[in-house]
Amino acid sequence: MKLNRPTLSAFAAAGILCFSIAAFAQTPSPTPDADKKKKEEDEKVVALLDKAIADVNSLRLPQNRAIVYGMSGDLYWKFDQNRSRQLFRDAANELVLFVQQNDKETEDNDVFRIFMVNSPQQRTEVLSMIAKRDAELALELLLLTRSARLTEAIAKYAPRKVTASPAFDPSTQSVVAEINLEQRFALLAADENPELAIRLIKESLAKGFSTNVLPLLEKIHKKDEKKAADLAAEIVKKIVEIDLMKSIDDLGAISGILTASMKPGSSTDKKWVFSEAQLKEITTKIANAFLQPDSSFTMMSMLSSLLPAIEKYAPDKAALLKQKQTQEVNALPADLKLMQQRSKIWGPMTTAADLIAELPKLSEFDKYSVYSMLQVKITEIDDEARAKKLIDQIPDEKMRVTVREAFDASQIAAKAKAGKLDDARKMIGGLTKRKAKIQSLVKLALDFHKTGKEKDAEIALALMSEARGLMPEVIETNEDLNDTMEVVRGFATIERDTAFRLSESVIDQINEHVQASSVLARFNPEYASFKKGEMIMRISGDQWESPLFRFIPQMQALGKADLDRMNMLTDRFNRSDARTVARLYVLQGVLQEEKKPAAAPASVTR
Amino acid sequence: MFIKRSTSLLLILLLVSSGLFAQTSDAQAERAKKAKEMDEQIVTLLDRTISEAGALKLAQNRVVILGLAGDLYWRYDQGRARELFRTASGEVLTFQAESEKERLENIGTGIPEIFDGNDPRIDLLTLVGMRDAELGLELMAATRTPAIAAAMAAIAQQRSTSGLAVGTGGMPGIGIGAGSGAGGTAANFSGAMDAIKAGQEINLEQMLITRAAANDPEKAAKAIKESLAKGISMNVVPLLTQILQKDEKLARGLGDDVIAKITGTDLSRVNSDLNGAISFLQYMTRTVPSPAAGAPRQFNFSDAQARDVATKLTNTFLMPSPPTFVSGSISRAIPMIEKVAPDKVLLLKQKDAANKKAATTSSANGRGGQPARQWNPADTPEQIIAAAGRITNARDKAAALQAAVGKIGQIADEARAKRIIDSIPDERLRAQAQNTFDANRINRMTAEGKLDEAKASVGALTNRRSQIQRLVALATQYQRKNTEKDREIAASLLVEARTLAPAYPEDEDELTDYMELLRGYAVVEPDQGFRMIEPLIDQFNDYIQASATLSRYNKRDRSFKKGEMMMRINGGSPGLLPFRFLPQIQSLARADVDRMSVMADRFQRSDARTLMKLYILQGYQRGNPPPPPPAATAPR
Repeated sequence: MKLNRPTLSAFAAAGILCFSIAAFAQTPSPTPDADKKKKEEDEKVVALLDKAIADVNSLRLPQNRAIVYGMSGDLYWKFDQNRSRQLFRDAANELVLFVQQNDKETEDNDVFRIFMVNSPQQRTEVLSMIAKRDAELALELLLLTRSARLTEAIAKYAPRKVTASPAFDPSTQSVVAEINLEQRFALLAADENPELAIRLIKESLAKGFSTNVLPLLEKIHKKDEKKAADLAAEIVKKIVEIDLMKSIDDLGAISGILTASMKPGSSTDKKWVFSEAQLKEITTKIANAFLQPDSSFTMMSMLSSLLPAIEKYAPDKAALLKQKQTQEVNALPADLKLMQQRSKIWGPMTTAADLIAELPKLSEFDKYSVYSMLQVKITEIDDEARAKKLIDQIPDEKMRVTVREAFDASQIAAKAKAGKLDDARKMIGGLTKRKAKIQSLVKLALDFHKTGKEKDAEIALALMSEARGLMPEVIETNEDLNDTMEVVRGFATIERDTAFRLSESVIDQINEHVQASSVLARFNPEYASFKKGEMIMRISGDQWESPLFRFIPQMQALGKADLDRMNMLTDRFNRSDARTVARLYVLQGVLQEEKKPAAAPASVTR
Repeated sequence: MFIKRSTSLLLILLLVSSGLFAQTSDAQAERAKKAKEMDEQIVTLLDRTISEAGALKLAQNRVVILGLAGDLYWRYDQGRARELFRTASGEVLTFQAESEKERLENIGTGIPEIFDGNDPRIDLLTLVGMRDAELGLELMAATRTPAIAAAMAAIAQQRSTSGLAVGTGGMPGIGIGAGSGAGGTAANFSGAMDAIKAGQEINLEQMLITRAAANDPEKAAKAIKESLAKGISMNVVPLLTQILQKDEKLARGLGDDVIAKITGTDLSRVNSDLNGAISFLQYMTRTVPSPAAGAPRQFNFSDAQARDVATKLTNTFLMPSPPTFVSGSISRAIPMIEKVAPDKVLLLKQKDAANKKAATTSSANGRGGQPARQWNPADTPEQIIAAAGRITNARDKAAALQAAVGKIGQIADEARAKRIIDSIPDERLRAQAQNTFDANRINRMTAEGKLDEAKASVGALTNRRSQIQRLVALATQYQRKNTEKDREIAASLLVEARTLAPAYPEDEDELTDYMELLRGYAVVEPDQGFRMIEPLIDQFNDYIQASATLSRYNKRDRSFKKGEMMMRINGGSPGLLPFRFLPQIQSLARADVDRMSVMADRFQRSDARTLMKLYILQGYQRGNPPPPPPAATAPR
């Protein structure tokens, strides 16, 4: 039967309709029970937030109060934005107190800070958190919480000339950091209010350039191409007009804008691009600055990354600049020249083979850094045979094993990502180091679990049991603690009861660590994690932090699995400051929106 | 009648004096008995400590305990002390073997240890060398690692062949115009550390050789020649002085050899040679004080020799494209060169100015961290303050003014000091400078014995800590005068200091003030000193235990290893709170060693207890030197 075009269309339309109805029917619609449960859970979260807010009064340090108000405001956003904004304002009021105290203390205690201005990290962290919710409010609070010293420093700010000593100058660094922060918030504000963002960025450009200009142009471009083009024209005009030799920071930022503009974007992006003529103007301006007789070595060190742009847009100046660069290097004293030559090894163009060739010439200390780099370079190699050949050339046996393990671990991750979970599982047996083995097992278990298939869930559990078997019986060292918490991370998703059971012993360890730190902090200023007997809170943590801040992801995963049970666990922290902040971390995890996997495997290959 | 009376008086006097004599000899005998008992008690304690050393897990701790015990044993039995030193050096070898094993095991697990701050070898050898320099040299050779030997050989080779400059007295490349880029620094770091270790070894060896050759001109001459073969070092000056007392001609000839070595060496190759040559010029151009009656003659070089050294240095500084350590040393040498060869200074100043300009325009890649300018020792506070006015970098400006404030303490002229203080642009720094000046003025008055004037001036100080420090210093000075009235004044000064210090320390600042007061009481009223330290023992225990806990979670921790506190010969375990206050603890031990030992028994950890007890004995020994050997009986 041959169907004519209208008949085909009718079939297609009917098919699409049927498919849509079926798809609609499959979409889970919230049941009254689910609604009720959700409502109860929200109420529970709000009650916990209110409790954390009430706990603020017992905190001695204004920076801690600011963090608790800030985090609570962030978490309240989902339920009541007005209340959130009020909490953000409360946080800002605490920050005002904090910056005042901070200014006074640094002046009293450290004579080297008399001429310095600093903007404490907690202020930046809290305001950045606010900016993600309400950038305009963050901009307002940025001004409100700016210390008198910083305000004065901004007013007096004179950019560092390109010939200035490259020595670190904290007063100008703080000013530059504050300008960058303001521009970053303006960038966020552009999503809601492009007009305001344009005004702010223009005001900010009067104080100095920042690489934030480019993403801002992109944002405005997406909303209004003409406005973006006008702003770009104004920016280029300003670049052409200013004397680049007067500010090394401006020169650095404009060079950054140029190199970023040279990077190709994806064809689907509505990417902002300067016109060829504009890029030529910017490049010529920069090249002319570099050709000035009093260009400094600091300046010349930027040149290498700019040469591709100069070769393209100001080719007549490229040869002269290369010659100048060679002369600068040749004029260096012999020992500095050698350092300069050796420093090439750290450049992005150095290959794994180059690094291996350098190894015999290096001291033990240098070898350590080169091995770290080599490990990264080798794990980036796709060709397994080539990578293995390079690994075999590493002269030190122990390092050979270490790099091989790192390569194998990266291969396991790559196979898992490609959906070849069984292949990945087989490869784990070849790893010898406990940490790498546990990490690979947990990662793979989570990948199997993610497929949602019953059989895979069983495999995930088996993998986690294997990881658990590798765990230390008693936690004695930092490594033991990290490995245990990695296993907890896996179980938090796969079998929460086990995760909670394993976490119990860790709470004791964290208590012990926090208590010992507080004892040392009393008489040892090196332990700056406490002040006036109170733990200095952090909004986020990293691997170098105290265990309380290091294992935030695990606490959040457990909170997500069972909020009540996690709260009971949190109650076991001995110190009230630790309890307060830990509760907020847990709530953060509960309210966090699930991130969609970047590229979930289409199918699982066996 | 008169004769009768006189005879009676004589008889009475005789009886009284014999009674007194009997009492004195009784007291002496009693003291001798007590001292003997104390010695026996100390030896018993030392023997117990030595036997306990075997139970320590860390070889480096066994080195420390055996070394300290050997040093303390010296007074009672030198043979046993030497035996302990030898055993300790055996433990050094064990430590080295363990360290090497660990190094190999840890390859690839973290940043390698380039310089082990807990290596007890140098401290042990210094301790041994102070007792028996020849034994020190022997143990030094026996425990020298192949790495140190290789670094020493590398330096020797560097001197004999052309190549890059190396540093032994400090990090190469540090100074004006130095690079601080991450890659560049890393590339030279371990080489510099090896060179530092080798330099330390050479210096200690020279020191021991000097001590060993103290009374033998021939040995001393040999030591000078050996030293010159290794490089240019001021260590030879004490030897030249020793030889001068016995053989002037030999001393002068060796002095010529020193100058020939300096002028014949390429000073741009090795940092320590350049530093050595500058030090010699500094020595040659110093103001020589008139010698005290009966003091040994000091060896001095001639003016012509000084000029030769100045010329050599000038030529080195003026060479084209010198290494950074050479160009960075010009400012330091100019004041000395100016004294003996003023004609050369103009060129040097021009070169120095050009170098400094180049340093700002073409110094390393500017990732921060370049050290602030080092002020020349010859710069006056007025010059530094004037220069600070032109500095725009906040950190450098603060450092410059701080350097000027530091120099105000050295000024005795009140009017000049006031002018300088008034010219400081910052109020807080002005107050700090005033306080520094006042505090140093009080120190000078105290040292000159003008105690009442000093006492009257303390009230003018505005800084509480300075007030406490000055009151304590004054109190100990009054106490030293040892009259009843002065002792009363000393006690009253401490009562005044006590009102300024906290009753019980709650933080680091308070603890510093509290322990300063305790330092005074340990001398003036030890009973009160003991009462003050008593409640701190619990804090010390808490602190040590907390450090032990945290060390478990920190692989790179330097205060504990394998659960054992890491000990040091000098300073105990510097990261741990009680060992920061060894001077106070030793001062109390001088007053009552038994009571302090009982206090040390309250340390919960056996490692801390053992080490503290040795320090207590050290404090006691230092405060109670052995009686001088009996004077030789004059021949009849």
